Amino acid sequence: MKIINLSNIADVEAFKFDLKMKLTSLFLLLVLFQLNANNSYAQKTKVSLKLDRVTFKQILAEIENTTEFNFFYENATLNPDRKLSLNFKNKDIQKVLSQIFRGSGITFEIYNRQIILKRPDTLQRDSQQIEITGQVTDEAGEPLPGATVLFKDSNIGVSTDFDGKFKLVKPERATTLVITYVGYQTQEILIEGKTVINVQLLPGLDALNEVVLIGYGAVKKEALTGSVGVVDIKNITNQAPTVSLDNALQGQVAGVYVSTANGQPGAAAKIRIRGTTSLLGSNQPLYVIDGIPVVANSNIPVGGTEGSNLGNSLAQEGLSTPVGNINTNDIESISILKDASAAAIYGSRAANGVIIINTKQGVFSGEPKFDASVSLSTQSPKTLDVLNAAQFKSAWVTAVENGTINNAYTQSVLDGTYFGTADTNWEDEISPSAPITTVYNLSMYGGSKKTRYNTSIGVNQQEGVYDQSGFDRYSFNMNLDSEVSDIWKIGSKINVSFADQQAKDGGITQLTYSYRPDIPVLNDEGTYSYSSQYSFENPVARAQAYNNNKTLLLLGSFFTELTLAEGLKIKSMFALNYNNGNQNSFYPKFTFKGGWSRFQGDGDGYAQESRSRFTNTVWDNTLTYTKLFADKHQFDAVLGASFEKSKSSNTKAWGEGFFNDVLTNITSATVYTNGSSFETGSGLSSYFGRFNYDFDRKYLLTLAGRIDGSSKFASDNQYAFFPAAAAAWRISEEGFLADVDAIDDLKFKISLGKTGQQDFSDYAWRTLFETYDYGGDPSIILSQLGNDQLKWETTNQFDIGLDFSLFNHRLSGELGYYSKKTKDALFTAITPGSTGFSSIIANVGDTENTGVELMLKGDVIRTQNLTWNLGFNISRNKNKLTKISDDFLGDDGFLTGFPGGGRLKEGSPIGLIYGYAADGLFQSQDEIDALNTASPTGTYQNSRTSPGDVRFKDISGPDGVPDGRITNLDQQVIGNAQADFFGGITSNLHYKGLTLSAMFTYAVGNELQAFSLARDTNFGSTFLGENKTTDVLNAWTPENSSTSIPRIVYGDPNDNDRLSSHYVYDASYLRLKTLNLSYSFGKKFLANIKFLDKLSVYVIGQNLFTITSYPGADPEASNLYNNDISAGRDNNRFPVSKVFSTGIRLGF
Amino acid sequence: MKKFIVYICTLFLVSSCELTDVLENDPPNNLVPENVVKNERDAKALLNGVYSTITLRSIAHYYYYTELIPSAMVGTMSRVAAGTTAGQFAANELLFDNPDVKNLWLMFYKVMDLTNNVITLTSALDDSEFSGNTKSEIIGEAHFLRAMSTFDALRYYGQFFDQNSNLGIVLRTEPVNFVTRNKARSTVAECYTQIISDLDVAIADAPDFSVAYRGSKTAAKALKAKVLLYQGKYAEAAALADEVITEGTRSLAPDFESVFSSGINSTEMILMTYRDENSDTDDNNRKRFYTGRTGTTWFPTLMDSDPRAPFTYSGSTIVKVNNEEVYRPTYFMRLAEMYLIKAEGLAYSGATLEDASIPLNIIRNRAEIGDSEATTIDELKDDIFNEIVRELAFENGADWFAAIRFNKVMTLKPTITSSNQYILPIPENEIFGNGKISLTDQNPGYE
Repeated sequence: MKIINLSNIADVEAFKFDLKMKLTSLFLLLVLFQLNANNSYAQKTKVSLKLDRVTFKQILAEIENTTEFNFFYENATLNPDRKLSLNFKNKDIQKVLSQIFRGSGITFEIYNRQIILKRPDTLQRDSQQIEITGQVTDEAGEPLPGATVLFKDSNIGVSTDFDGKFKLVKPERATTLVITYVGYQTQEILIEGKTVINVQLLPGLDALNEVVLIGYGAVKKEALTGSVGVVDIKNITNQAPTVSLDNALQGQVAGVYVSTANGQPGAAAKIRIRGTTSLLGSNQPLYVIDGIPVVANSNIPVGGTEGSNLGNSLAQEGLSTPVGNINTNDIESISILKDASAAAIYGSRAANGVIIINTKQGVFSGEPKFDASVSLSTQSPKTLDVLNAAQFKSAWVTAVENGTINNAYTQSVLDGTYFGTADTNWEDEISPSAPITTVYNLSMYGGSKKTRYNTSIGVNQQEGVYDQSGFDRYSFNMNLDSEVSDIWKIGSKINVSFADQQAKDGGITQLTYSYRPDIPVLNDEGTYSYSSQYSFENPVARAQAYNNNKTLLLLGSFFTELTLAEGLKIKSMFALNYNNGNQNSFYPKFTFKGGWSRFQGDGDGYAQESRSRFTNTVWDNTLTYTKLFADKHQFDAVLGASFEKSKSSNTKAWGEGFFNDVLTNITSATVYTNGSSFETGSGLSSYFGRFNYDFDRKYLLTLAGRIDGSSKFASDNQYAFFPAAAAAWRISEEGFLADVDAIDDLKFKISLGKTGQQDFSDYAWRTLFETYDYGGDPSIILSQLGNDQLKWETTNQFDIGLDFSLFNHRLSGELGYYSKKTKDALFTAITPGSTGFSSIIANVGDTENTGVELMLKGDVIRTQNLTWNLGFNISRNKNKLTKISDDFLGDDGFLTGFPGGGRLKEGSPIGLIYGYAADGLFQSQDEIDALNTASPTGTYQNSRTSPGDVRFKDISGPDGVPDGRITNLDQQVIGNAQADFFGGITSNLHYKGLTLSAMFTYAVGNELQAFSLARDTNFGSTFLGENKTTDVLNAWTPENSSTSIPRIVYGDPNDNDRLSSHYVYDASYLRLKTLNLSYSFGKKFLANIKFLDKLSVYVIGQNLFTITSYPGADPEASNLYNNDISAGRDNNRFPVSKVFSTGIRLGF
Repeated sequence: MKKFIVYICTLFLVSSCELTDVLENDPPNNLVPENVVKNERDAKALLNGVYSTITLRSIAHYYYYTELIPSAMVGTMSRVAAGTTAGQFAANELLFDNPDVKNLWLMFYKVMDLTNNVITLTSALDDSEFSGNTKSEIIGEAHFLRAMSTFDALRYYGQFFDQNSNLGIVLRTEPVNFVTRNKARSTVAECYTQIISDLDVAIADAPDFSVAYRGSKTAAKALKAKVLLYQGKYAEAAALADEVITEGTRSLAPDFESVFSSGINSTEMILMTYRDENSDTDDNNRKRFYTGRTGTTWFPTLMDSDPRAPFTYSGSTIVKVNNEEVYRPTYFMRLAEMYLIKAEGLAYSGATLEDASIPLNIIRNRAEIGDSEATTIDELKDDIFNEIVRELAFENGADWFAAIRFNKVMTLKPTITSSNQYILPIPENEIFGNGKISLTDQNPGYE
């Protein structure tokens, strides 16, 4: 085999050459052009020098500065003591050099722009010269022309030629070759007597030359002054295709906390960049996709109370947000603007950070290239184990026996007549065995000399873990830009996607846990069976209900750019963000929402249909100026104006009276129909600018600001200014660090600035009137009190950071500290009744976030065939509510009454868990008796408290001191949903074509109230759920006393399931989020398949394992994606799944 | 090429007005002060909204709290509703965080604020938008409604019985914004001045009487007569009440029963709420739970054997203001009250026993209980008080405020031991939310 392969090499080389010749890429043309130019450079270039008594070194430096020539030589070549005076005017380089080196014995050779100096002694040993030749190729095996090949610790070296080839004479002492190329990892290779050295460079790690997207522009990473997290796009595409974009950002960037609040396919993740700032407004970041602002809100109309608030509950689950419509395959780069200096250019919407996403562009002068991929995934949900019918029966018999309640129900449990004979596993009944997700992507890119394009289609067909749940998406992307003339560019980007979201009722997972297993799906009459002791329909009945929402998202933009003078460009972009939602829900007559009840039987059925339309037009105009003065003063400035108009409208109809399941449109309702419509709009007119100054690549300064005028505020308050300033010092460029080899780059950054938040209802400031009637005539009544002083929430942020890159870029990292102070946070404030209103939204709260972030990247192994790099990030954020209007504060200093629970308190984090403090389980009656005796009423907790019940702590009494009894006063803060630390770990191991990538995410110290677990392990009332999780098999008994599950007792006399610390868990976790093994076929193999350029196959495991002590299904659980106050409650929503994917990627 | 660029630039400049004019953004589904009143029809609709605000169930309960709360406080009803906070009214032991105290205050001001909007926005509209004298009629009617809500706020929350007191209410005469939320209490005298001046505008400009469910010149006069009585200007009150009686726009119904069985067609109603067959279902807008409310102490004794009793309550169920046949309207003022005001005004202003008895006896005789047998003016005053209770029980606090004016309330209600209990506390949210009112401004006895 080997022999055959070896003999094929020549053919392969030839083939490559042929292929290369056929290519007409601009890149090669440019190189050719350069080569031509190079040949004549030495002849064309005239050198002028006037120097007085300087060393050789200084002379050469001066020539390098004034021309494009570079000198290569060993240090010992030049005599440091010899000083010369020179005076040339417009002389040929050949002549100049001859004169300089006359009499020194040094000879020189000119190759293109490189001048190689040779010492007299090397000349003498000409005969013993060792010549090293070789070729430098890229990761795909294509030659890399222009790569620099140097002997380590010398100035001797060359650039590779058109074929990536080089030829060098080895100096006597040289041992190592260093090969560098912009955008590729630097490689060092030991010579060890070899004369042919072929090098394959791997892309990417030279992070300092990376270009980072920032607001209205991009900068080189080394010139960055703000705190911008760059997402390695590979870490996104490495994940299973079932993972949506927002979810995929988890663990990627320090300071960005992502949790999956809902495992429903297509549902939004909860993203918090540097903490929670807002109480009433959104805390989700602003997305800017191809320059178009996108807000991650659901497009499902909330509406009124119809369908038991169905619209609201769907919207709260984060279904159908525009982020779910974005195909990760179309993304070229993602930047996360974290600090004020980076984000302030987005002004009034930047307080929660900004995520900038650009989609893929074509290449100039490139032949059409195709990338295609297909993948197949299957998922299995992580759910809880519940009792089977036999266990269920025995548990309830025990519960009744242990309890004291005696009624018809308990009798029927004891005599067994209550129980059915079935053994139904409800989860199996509503879940298909292996939901399949198939994803197809095809993209084509290329371009002519002046025009480039990239177009793609993505098809994603995802089945959810429940029958008839799923997410189908079709996405189209088209980017085109053209240089009409040297000074005029024009282009457009269009991204259209259509998503079809099929969601199950939000409570169905919990229902499968709670529903009794001893009854069949259908009873003998063929109707859905139900329990006489539980109010809800059986899970299979509820699973017949559907919620379907179709979203058409169009992000389209058109730009034109004109170069007015060198470095001065004006650009105008017009963009449209169009989001059309079409929601459809049907709850058949045998579902609870459809009117079914266990007393009356079937209801009328409920259907709802709503359409929403959101349009946002943006007109951005920017003027950019870039200029380098006197080699040292680099100026970059952006000045712009942006005008945005949003309109959002919806219509909704609903009805009751659907006697069959075929005609479910609203017109077919036979009992009742109703409808509503609503429209709202807002506008933002903004003027912004940014000024960057870079002195000698050492000192960097950024000044940025934005003036936002928003229609969401009263005319006097419409405009606000968001300034920011940042400075950075590249310490590594200073002379004193120049000789420290270990340090490649070291930068200190500091920034200060202000950002805002205005994501709340469009007309909150206005006095509003609505129509009514009186006495048969129309009337108009007041519906909202105006607040002319309503304004944005403003966040002042301070940031310091240190970026470093060490040991030839082997270890790099960023360390940062920030403090974010938000003032004027919106919250409900009491208004005096004499205004005619009792409450209003006003700027009354202050919040604060401080944090530390660390990101590390390292190359553990860096050899030609084997590389292993590791990435690690960790963040700590401390969140605090510093001020709130005391209008609603209770006597205990808490604010309560939020949907979903949770509390607020000044000086504490947002999202407190509050309840009784538990102290394990009572182990003996003596323990209880002692407490009862000490109680003034003779009872400590409950007269029927027994061993195996939860012991609550007596914390306080009416007089503020423990009173020997457990009362309401014994509640306190028992948990905080926010993590102490969180982050991610990535590992990429390459061995030849094989790549193994792993990504872990973790959080430490996030507490979670296992709200459902309390009900799923206690037997308080059948109406709270009948079946229990298998945890109760480990319930307390005198024989099984070392457990945390309380005794099984019907009626739960001790109220064990109350909100207490017994059910608040540390939900710290470490999760293997992604494991990806892929193999890219080498050039040799592909050469046999003539038309393929790239071929790789991969397998992915998503959420393979999670290490946690949290007993619930998912330690990342969070109540709702955009509700931070009640975040600490685990309600067993749609479960997160384990996913296995396999796929293939082709390029041709 | 350059030309092309110029064209494009021109195109952008032309379209830029449309593109950049983004801050003007009126809500498409709501009206705002800038566009709510653009013509006569809008002004009328906004004025109509004041009545909607009074009758709406969903926002506050002007229309039935003014029946329940004073009745419970004086004892003609035994309770407002179930629950401990509602129980505070019947016990005359109110706390400043009582939610109904808050809501009653809130709805007076909701009405007052809308009247201010009507006055301001209609005044700002050009005269040419209106036909005839509609503009001044609308403004006049709004002044009447503002006077009514201001007077109600004053008599429930201010020391209305003491002309020299500083403890009036917060006067609102401009549309309110969160920015202008802070306003101090005015003196009682200032409040009365404001109310009378509003009523004088209404008497001059409000439309003539047409229907009982809208304000009118007649209603303004009737209310002014009532206000003068509360001010102790008895002779003026009697004179104005007489003017309402003699002007003849309204006439007494032939018998007591038909006053409450004809709904909005009753001939003696001066002001009441509009109700029709849809009103109960609209917005679920019915008076529920009117059973079990009849006073159990002195009231049944007083009503005992009175022919009006069966039309007032039945057992423990209130029927007068909860008559299903006519869709349960709320009565604010009717002609019978003018007779009683005239009688009270005369009795207190030194008129003869005979003169003062005449209006009283008209009401007594319609009720078929014969002439008053009072032999002194003091006895007559007692008869007038009893007549107010029997005739006007549950109607807009007539019974409760009469008991205060006649100084009988402490006798009837032993739980009332101080004049502090004549009025309600200023609600908690007014004190916390209004920067110009602090706890020291609270009504006495509630600090």
